[in-house]
Formats: sequence, C-alpha cells, structure tokens
Amino acid sequence: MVRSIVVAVALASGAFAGFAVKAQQGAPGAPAAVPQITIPTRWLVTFELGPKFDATKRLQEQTGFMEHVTAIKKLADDGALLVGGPLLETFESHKPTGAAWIVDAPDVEAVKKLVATDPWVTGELAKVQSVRAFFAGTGAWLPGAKAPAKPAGGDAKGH
Amino acid sequence: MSRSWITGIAVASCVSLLAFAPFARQDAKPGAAPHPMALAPTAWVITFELAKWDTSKSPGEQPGFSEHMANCQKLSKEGTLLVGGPFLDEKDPTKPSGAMMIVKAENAEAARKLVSTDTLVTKDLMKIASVRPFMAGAGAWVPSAAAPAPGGSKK
Repeated sequence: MVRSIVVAVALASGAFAGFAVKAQQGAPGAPAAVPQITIPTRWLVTFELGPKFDATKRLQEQTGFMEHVTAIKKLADDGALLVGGPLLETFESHKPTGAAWIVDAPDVEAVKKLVATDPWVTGELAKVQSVRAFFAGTGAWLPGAKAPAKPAGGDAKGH
Repeated sequence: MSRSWITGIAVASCVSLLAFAPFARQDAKPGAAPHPMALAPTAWVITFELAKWDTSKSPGEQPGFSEHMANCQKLSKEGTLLVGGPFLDEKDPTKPSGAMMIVKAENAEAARKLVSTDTLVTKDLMKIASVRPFMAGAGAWVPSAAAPAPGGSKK
C-alpha cells in the first residue's frame, strides 16, 4: 500500500518534471515545435440544468431517469467516466444546480461524443457549461492511491 | 405498574438492538477498508483560478510549489483530497490554467478551510474561484461504484 502511494508520487513528480522540460523547450520566441504531451489528460465537464429539467421534481422523477442512469453506468464501466454526479445547491435542500464529470478522452471532440450518449444531454435536461483539460495529479480516488490506512494497521514505516 | 414499565424498556431495547444489528454488521465488514463516502457523503468541487502564478515559469519554479505538492499528498493520504490537479492551458498543455480539487468536508466552511492553508493559496498564486456541493454518484474512480473484483486494474 505504501509503495503504491510512493509510485503515485513519483509519477506525479515525473509529470511535473516533464512540464519543466517542455516549458524550457517551448520558451517564448522558440520556433514552432509541436509539443508532444504524453501526460494522461482528463477533462472536467460541468453541466448546468437544461430547459427540460423540471425543478419541481426530484432527480429520480425527471424524464428518462433510468435511461440516464444506464448511460452513466455504461460510461463508468467503460472507464470513460471517472467521477460524475450532481452539483447541489446545498446538501440539505439536495436541489441539483448542475453536474460535474471527470472523463477520460483523447480530445474535446471525443468528450462531446461521450457526453452525447447521455439521454439527459440530448433531451436538454442538462447542458454542457464548460469542458476543461484536467490533469489528475493527486487524490485518494486515483488508481494507485489506496484508502487511508486503518489506525491500527501497518501504516508508513518506511519501505 | 413499575414492572410493566421495566418490561416496556426491556422490550424496547431488544427491538432497537435488533433494528441496529443489521446496520452494525454492514459497517463492520471484516478486513474492508473504511469506505470514504460512508464516513462523510459530502464532497465539494473547488475550482481555482491563477492569480500571481508566473506563467513564464514551470510549476516547480513557483514559490511554495513543493510545499503545495506535499500538502496535496498529505490530504490525499488522509482521504480528504479525493481528486486534485491543474487545468491545462488549451494552447500549451504544459502550462496550468487553474486547478480543481474534490475534497471531503462537513460543510462549505470546512472545505474552504481545508484548501485555504495550501501555500499556493496563502502566497496568492491561485485563488478559490468556486466551492460547490457535489454528490459523486458514479464513475470508475468512485469507490461505491468500483467493481467488486479486488485489485482490478483500471487504466
């Protein structure tokens, strides 16, 4: 467990070291060298509520809820949707104000294709608000990072 | 009268014990790591915009960057930082154009507090742009949605 975290750290630092090298190469005024980026790029997609979203109803009562869930599940099973869920007004009111997804896709066009498999997007219950390239550097949910060690368990003693 | 009262309490406690028993068993799965979402089902999506970040320099050259990385690793290890990283510039993906963190916190204040001690924020290299309540319902990285097979590698 400890080792996998160390590997994750090493990967993250490696990516940043990569940044540094590329940044130097691509110094201002340098001839147009096409940057070759191999770091795994993900995308943060945010959604706002679309015109067909009925704010008087709960999420589960919206048109095509089951089809939406099925589509989301497929994206997750395919490994394309890494994290997804509604953004809420407050946890108390539980009123959705939109949604956020982290997706794995080679480019913006592919992101749009993935998003279009959700019937809530095609059915105008949700509308894409922004798509931003995102590099997932750290976090307990990243592959390789494990859940926090139990207090009594063998935590970091060195390798 | 007092006897029936005692009996009432006894019955009530038995019933309540029975009622709680299944939940207790669910929580205490032997050998299972504590479920991050089970402990606090409240996550927050926090976005940051660049402020005094020097775009002519690499991330490693920004003041307080190594402290920032150490802080992120610490929060990640604690299980409070679920996913975090930079947004990349569309034209030059070697450069960050902001950042995003999904954190676990009791409320908005706690979420804000959690990230406001990061050196990049204290040094004003980046600013908190938004803090929004988020319910991670699905996704290959979300523990509740993870495949039951242990150690299944995902790319």
